[in-house]
Amino acid sequence: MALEAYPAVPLFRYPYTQLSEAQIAARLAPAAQGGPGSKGPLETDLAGTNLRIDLDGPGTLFWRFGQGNRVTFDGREGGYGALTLDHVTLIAHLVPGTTSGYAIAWDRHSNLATVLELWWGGGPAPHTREINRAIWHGYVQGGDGEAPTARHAPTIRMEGRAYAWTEDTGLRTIEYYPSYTYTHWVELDRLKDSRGYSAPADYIQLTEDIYLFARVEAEFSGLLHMYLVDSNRLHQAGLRLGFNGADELEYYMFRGTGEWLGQNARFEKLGDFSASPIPIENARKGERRIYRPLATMDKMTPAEVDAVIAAGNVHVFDRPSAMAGNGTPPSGALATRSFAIEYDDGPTMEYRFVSNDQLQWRKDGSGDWRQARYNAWEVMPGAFIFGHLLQGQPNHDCHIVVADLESGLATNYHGFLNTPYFANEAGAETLFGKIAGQGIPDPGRRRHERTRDLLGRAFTWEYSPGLNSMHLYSTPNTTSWIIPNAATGHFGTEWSGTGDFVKIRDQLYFARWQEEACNGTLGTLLLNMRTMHDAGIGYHCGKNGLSMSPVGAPARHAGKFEVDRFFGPDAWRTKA
Amino acid sequence: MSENPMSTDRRSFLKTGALVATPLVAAAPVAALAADDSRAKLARLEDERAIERLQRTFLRQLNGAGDCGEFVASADAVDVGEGLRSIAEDLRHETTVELAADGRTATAHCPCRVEREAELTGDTTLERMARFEGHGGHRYAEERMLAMEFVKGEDGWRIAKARLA
Repeated sequence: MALEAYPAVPLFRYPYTQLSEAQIAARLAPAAQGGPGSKGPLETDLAGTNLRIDLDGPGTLFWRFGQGNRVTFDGREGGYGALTLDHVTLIAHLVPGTTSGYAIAWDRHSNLATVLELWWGGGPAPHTREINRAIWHGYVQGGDGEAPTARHAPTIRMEGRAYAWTEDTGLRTIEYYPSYTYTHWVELDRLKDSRGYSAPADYIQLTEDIYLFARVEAEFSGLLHMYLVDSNRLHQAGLRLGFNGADELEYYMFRGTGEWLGQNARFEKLGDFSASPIPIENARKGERRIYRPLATMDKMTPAEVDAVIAAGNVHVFDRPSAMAGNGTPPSGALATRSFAIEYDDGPTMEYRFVSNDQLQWRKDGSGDWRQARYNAWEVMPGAFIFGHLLQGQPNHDCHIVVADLESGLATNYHGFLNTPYFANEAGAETLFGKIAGQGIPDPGRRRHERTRDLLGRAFTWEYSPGLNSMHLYSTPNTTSWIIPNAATGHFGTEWSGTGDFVKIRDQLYFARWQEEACNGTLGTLLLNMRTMHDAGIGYHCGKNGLSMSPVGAPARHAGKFEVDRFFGPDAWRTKA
Repeated sequence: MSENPMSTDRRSFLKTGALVATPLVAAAPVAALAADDSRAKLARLEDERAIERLQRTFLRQLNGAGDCGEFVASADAVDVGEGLRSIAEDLRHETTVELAADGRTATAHCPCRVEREAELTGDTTLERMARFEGHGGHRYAEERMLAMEFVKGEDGWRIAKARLA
């Protein structure tokens, strides 16, 4: 596979090179001397400045700034770059002869400073190409006055916001901040499929309206993308540092302008502004909690999938699910009904619902009727979601169907295994069709349609006491999910995958998410925004077997960002 | 709720041996019993009240300190499963008590709403991420039948067996 700086495939499918520390050092050496690049001018007014910063942790660090862009640190002279946002200056440099560097945010009014110590290799990041960062707070020494006791600090004040940034490079990014430790960003130019990704992030409050934000694209390129945010003027000044998909060093500073997209609800207790991440016992320098789903995912071959299923490890609605502790009970209203669903460019499925949880199905009018266990939920009168396995199909398919018996319309999130990536990872396609049966109106050529009604919205889901999440529908084909912290309730760890969104009726939506390279589940839900409750079905295969299980939770609407205009009409047609 | 042993409870039943269950409220008043001079019937009524009181105290103890040592006949008498966090009578249904003919043992069936906390051991992504965020378990509620057996000793009634079915 040819290397691509910004891959055409989803980032979680791209085989990033395992760069060695020596390879990284070789690429950094000229950049350390030259300093960061920039489209616009970088500042040189630090010439002659000796910057001595007392930091809680590493102690005192000292930088001597010379003419031009020269800086000496730890006896090594190299190049630096600087950009000032109002009265806060961001300084960046690499330390020559090392695989390390620094980024300094210096508030020239208060003399408080936050320093990001940056390095590659030696951990704690498990991949050498992934940049490590340790964040230190302190102050710039100067004069004979008392040392300030105040410090910059992590903050939740940015949580719930979203901006559309346009850098002076011309690159546009939507950045959602739905968590106090993670971020979700959508590159609108370099990545072609309008897909959002999630990454660990730092949010540091510098002043009432200026913040320092940093994300490391962990699990992907390992790049650092950081910037100062002036939240009133909607300006940014930033640094991008790391290795792209072509293993090229990106080391440049930028300015940008933002558009405020909105502010979603936060769910901390009123009065709780705490923002320190969960502590790690005996943490190494720079160690932080980073969700690495690919490492913990079961990765199975087709033979292993077949074997685990043949051994009888199949569970279809036969056990309680923590994902549905607050779900509604299944409906028996389909029992004794019969109908067929004719999918456009898909099969015709004939159904006989013989009881509350048993149905018979036949595909394309041929072969024997097959018995299957199902569960159904009537989420709005006459609108059902039901699901079942298609036993005997080589890819262990499932159909998760929303059938609207009042309109005669049906939509199917057809799940299947044996994708080209991992055999146990669920793939999915969306099938649209109509229902034929006694008393069911013929919709003719009408079908359910994809919708952007959910685009930009976020909902919390309370599955069971102690098991909650938030969904953020960040692009027309992305679902992101955020998990609250157990101790504080702050929304923290975040991940995302392919999504699809279909309007069933007004305020009734059928959504799905795929946990690609991340546990492999196909999750579905039928969301009733009138009752703010959903019912859904999860389809999952792992070493414990194949399962279909209920999903159900009351919802809270966290807000909606108006982002529709950033996505072209084909955005939702991208396939994983 | 009153713990007066002579109070009546419309949700309680008394059934003797194989006899059809008879609501307590339908039982003859104490005065009538006295009039019948039926000391045996009075004793059974007192037993029934004692069992009812013991069952309530048992539930309260489960919801409170949890130590039921003073109520049980043996160390293995109580097994209500893992992760019990609360248990409450389901007021939509009636509790039945059956007293053996010899008056030495009894059984009771009490519909309950049980809340449990279970470890987040599932392999769903949400559970994995919840564990990552420090969540050890989740709570869920279920409807169960509390089946109890009682034995009468020299110091009164004790619980011989309590299980949630």
